[in-house]
Amino acid sequence: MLTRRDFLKFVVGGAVGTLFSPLPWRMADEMVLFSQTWTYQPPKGKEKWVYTLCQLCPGGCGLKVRKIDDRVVKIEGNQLNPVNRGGLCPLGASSVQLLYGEHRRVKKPLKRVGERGEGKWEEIEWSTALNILTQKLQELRINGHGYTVACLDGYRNELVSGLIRRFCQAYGTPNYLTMPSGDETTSLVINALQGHEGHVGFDLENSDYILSFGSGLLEGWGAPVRMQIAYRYIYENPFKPKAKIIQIESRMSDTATRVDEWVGINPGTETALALGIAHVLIKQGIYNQEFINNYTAGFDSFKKLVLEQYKLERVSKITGVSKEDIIRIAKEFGQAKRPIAIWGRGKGDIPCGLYEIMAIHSLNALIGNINRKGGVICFNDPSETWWPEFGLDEIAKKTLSEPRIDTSKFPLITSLLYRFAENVNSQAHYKINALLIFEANPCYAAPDPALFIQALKNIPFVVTFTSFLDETAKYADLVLPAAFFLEKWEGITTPRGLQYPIFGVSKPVLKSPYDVKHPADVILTLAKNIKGIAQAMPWRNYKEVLKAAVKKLYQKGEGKLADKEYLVSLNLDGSSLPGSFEAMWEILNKCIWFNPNVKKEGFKTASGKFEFSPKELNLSHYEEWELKGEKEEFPLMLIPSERLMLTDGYLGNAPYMVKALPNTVLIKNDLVVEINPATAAKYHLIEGDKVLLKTPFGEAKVRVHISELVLQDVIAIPIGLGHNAYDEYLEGKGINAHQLLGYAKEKLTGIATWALSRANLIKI
Amino acid sequence: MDAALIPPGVKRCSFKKFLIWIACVSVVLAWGVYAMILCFAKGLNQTNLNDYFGFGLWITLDLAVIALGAGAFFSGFLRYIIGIDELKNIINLAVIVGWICYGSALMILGLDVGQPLRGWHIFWYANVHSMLTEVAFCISTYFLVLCIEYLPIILENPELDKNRFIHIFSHNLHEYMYIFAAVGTFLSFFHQGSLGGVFGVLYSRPFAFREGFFVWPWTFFLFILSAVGSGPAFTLLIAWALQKATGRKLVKYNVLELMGKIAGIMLSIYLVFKLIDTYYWAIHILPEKGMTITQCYQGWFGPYGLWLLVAELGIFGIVPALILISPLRKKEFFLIIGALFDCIGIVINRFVFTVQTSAIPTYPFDKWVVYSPSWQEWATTIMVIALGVLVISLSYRYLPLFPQEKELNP
Amino acid sequence: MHVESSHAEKYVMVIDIDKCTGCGACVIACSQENNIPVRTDETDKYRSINWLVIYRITNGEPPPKTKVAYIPRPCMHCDHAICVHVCPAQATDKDRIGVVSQIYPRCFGCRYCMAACPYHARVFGWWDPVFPKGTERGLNPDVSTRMRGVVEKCSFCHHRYQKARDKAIAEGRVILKDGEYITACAEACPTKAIYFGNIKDPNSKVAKLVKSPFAFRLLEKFGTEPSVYYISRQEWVRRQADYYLEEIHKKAHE
Repeated sequence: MLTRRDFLKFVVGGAVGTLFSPLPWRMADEMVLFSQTWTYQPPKGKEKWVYTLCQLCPGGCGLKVRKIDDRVVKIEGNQLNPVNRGGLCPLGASSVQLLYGEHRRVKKPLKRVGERGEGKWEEIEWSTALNILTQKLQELRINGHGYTVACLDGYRNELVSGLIRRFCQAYGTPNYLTMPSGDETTSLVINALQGHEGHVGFDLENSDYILSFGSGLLEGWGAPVRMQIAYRYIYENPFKPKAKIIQIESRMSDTATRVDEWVGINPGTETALALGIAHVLIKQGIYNQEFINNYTAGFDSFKKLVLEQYKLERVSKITGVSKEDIIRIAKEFGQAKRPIAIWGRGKGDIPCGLYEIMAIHSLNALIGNINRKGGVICFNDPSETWWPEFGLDEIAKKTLSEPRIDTSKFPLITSLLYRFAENVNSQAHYKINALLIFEANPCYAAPDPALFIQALKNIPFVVTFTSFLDETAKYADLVLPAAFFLEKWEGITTPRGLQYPIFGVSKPVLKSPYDVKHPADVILTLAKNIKGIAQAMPWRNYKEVLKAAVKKLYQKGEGKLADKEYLVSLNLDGSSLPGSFEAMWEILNKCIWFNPNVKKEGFKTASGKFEFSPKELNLSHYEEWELKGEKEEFPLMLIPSERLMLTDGYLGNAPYMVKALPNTVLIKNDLVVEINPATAAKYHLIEGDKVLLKTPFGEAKVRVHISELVLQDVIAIPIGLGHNAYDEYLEGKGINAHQLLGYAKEKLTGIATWALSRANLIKI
Repeated sequence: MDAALIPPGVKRCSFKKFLIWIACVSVVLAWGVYAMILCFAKGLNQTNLNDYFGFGLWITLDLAVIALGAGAFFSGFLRYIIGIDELKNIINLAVIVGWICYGSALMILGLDVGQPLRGWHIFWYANVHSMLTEVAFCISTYFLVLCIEYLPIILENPELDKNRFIHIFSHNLHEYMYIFAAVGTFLSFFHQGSLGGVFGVLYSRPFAFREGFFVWPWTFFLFILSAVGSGPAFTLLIAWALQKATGRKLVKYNVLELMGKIAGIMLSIYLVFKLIDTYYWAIHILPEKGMTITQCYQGWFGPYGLWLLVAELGIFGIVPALILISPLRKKEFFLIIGALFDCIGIVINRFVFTVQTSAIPTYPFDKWVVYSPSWQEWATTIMVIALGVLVISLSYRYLPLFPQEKELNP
Repeated sequence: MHVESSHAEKYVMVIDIDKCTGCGACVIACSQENNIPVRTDETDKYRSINWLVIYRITNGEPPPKTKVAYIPRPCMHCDHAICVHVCPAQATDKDRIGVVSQIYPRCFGCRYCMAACPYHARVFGWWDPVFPKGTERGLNPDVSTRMRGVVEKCSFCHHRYQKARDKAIAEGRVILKDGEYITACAEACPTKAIYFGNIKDPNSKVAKLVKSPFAFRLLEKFGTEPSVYYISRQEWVRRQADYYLEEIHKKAHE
């Protein structure tokens, strides 16, 4: 019979025995699974590597993409690409997060419900969206108001820009705008000084003296990865660099700390310094007389101006650079074997003044490095010249003759976005009835974005083609999901600043998880459905456009295929073009076409020479930027600072990139600005203090980081944060530097830049 | 109302008063339990620990309570092995204090690890080279020993003692208590030392690193000595506090004085070796590791300044040692001050090894970091103290802890 | 635990500080390769999960003499790994090819290894790991995701070694060629400042680079014998890293 004692023995024995079995311990492990968030473990699958080209910046990097089944899991650099040679920049490396970020991708066409800016939409079908768009455009065109349609092109080195331009022409609107950057002004200057409409490259790898007027060589200027490789090549031996680099800017950027010399100049005075250097070159006769005599015109008037008006006394006072330094640098520059002067602030997106670029480029003429090894290389990019001719119908001919909406006193200067906003607001010229935005974010990045947002109130129909729910999407009536670069066909043309042309084709790496279209395909559809423009767009889809472009390129027979494993060197070997066009088409996403021996484009001005003083522009000269606000109220200067880890404009920083930002840029949700210790002392500020940063364009709370690397009375603000769109990883962090910087105008040309603004700090 | 549970021959305050007291303690306890639940549910982000400060208030507390709870094993050792009979008047309290201390340590350790449900890994996947393994095994086993030592005290409760089986059982346990005392001493010796070893083996943290004997760095032995030098002091402080709180005399002064004397002697021995060790560390080990004393301290008055060293070895080291070994300890004021400073000094020592070690920059280009605990850490720390107060309150009320109580309260 | 591997492979990393521009591509590549979680606020750098961290040092001079250098710091995979010695659950071990591994399901988060590591290479999961919604699709199936409450660190992309080895074995050999197995950070670096390879292969780049008198390791004075070497021709960088032995190294390799 079972006694109480037996029972107790059994229970106790059982309990103790169980402890010695795996049961309770495995249960503990199972408890862990139930009691916590257990991270998702991705399933294994079939691995596949495919190739494409990055389109996140005009840098032209070749990419290798790792896929597991249908999922894209890794982006790496393509070693077969001579531009990036297997390397990557942080933005390219974080493409997967941009691709798959559920909370920021536009998944379906959206129609606005509620007020503009509220960010409330309803999802609609593409057919509906296209109908709305087609109807609107058709209507405006038929009524002779085609010119009241404006297109804002956010693309940079993609072939689709040509298609948008073509569409505007065929449709009949002169209002083709681009997001401001240094590029348009550069084209204008080169066209005026050299009569050349093509591409400008800088042969920095072969130079031995680089005068950089604020170009962020390591912050993303030009083709970012190419510049990193060039830096390595130049500084292979840090004690015997192959080139001396002088970095001229108001804040000692990382580039400045790593090259030979930083020259701190007062913000916005680059033109004066360039002309001061010209003064020394000319005065001391250290310029290339042979080049000047044989290849330039107008030198005498240039010489007169520079010698008389840009004496070092004056230049030194304006720029804050000592006379001794100006003389020394000018001498070094003039006596170097292959010197070059370059422009384009920060990443090159911050516009330069027209006379600023003229002044800097005149230095290149003075030492005669144009189209020479180590100098400025001019050539025609075949991807820009392949487009076939087409005819305009009567409607287009008529409406194209209307003046642009963003005209300034200078008809040559275009894409003045602030001018656009001003004129739309005042309706001084005419009303804009429709605005089509292509992968750009002007409501965040336009000069004085608040002004632009205000202008939108006067535009009844705003459509944006975008991959992301950005600020502009909030103000649009129709948000059309654009395919992300990994999801679409595209032609990648020559990157900024590269000294030879390239062409690559990006093939879709995956089928988009969302209902997206390539804006190019939408344009082709519109062309079919809007009467009168079909003849300009004889292609069924964008892939056909690309094929046609490649065919033309192939038929020309120039250049070669990049199919070597390029290392960090100057190797530009390649293979001859394949035997058939089909073979070329197949390989162009993996091995780009490039032409390091491209025919250089000479001077095509009326005189056939480099013009120091072109007809419409006259001579370069320094004039203070027109700044809003009074010095008394805003005694300090605000300048933007850029870095590779913070992207600006349309592409919001990926979560990994926001994570990588140091505490000198972002602390919790506070943006951090840099000020000089003397400035800090003046305002009684210590490291980390919260201040109110005020400019004539707005005010916001920031924190301060005290750094000797900024000039006294200058505040450096990181540009790229302060979004109120995208997703929880970016929204609400920091403040929008664009809003505080507003814009400064170059008096004679009306060109606007956000390189500097008046400002003040108030301790809070 | 609970008169039946109160030991015969002693008076206790009214049940109502007692309930109010328990309620107050329980409120504090509940706050701590809430913090504990937050930590378990949400993870260790509830603390202010970070990647530079993996060890903070909780580990400091762990080390401190284990050191202060050494009164249990050392008193047991002196009573049952050495035969100092006078200690029988305070040994029960010492055991309970020890039990509370080790129970708290285990609880806090459970909180402190990132995956408490995997706590058993330290036993199953034990790494014989790691000091922490030794610590885990020993304190777990020793806690069991303390439970066994505590059990007979509980079983002496009048209601429980009525049961014949329990009466015989607890009597037998008493007979064999010396075995458990010996085992406890053996285990304690090792884990007190291993806790010192945890830091002493870190050849990558010169501030904590020491050479030693065989696999045991000198901190191994120093931690044992400092534990036995402060454990008895802590027990005597608890006894004194209990006397003050209840308004009753519970032990004769000479017992407290004896504990103070033991603590003072062991503390003095400890300090002799500690000073030698500190000196040797400063002029030999530090330079051998390419560091200087100024690199290990933030000046004189910074958060981790040299004042800490002066405080630990001087004001809360030499001073209480001298008080406790001198006739001064005959005066209650000095005895208590001596014991208190003794304990504080040891707590500072544990803090210094845990927190300061982590704060010192390792890279030449790195900087000092400062850590201060979050409210959840404080709440849970105070929770275990409240738990201890609760256990002592219940034990004092319902168990005959002090053989001299009847005599002192006629 | 001192490990002298008689195995023919010992992987080390050599980072040329003069070539590193601090761009951070390596950090992003590592994050994407190794399924690193990311929270909405990562400004508390002492609680941020980063396997590869970039330190910024300056020469302390005011402008214009200011010089800046960046030091990418992965796990050092020390030969005398103090962390392996002290882990109470044997969750970390130094393996045959020189990599210090970490077993996440075994670690119970006591953080002793973190207290031990002077390089701060080990990070703790203070929160439940989160990935931006939708980006789980982009996770690497070759790398385990971790849970909160455990320690994690750079693994020298060990999963890539396993893949490369599988491939080599399929081709009938066991030893890998120089460059067959490299870490994600080395692969992404645009200036190729990070070299990774088998130091026991006399023809590998790393075997040659470590002989340079300008090659040093961080915190050598602690005797951890790290597997990550740094090179800088700039004296101020070497001094900041506490390295003064160029002459002796030169003589040793003459």
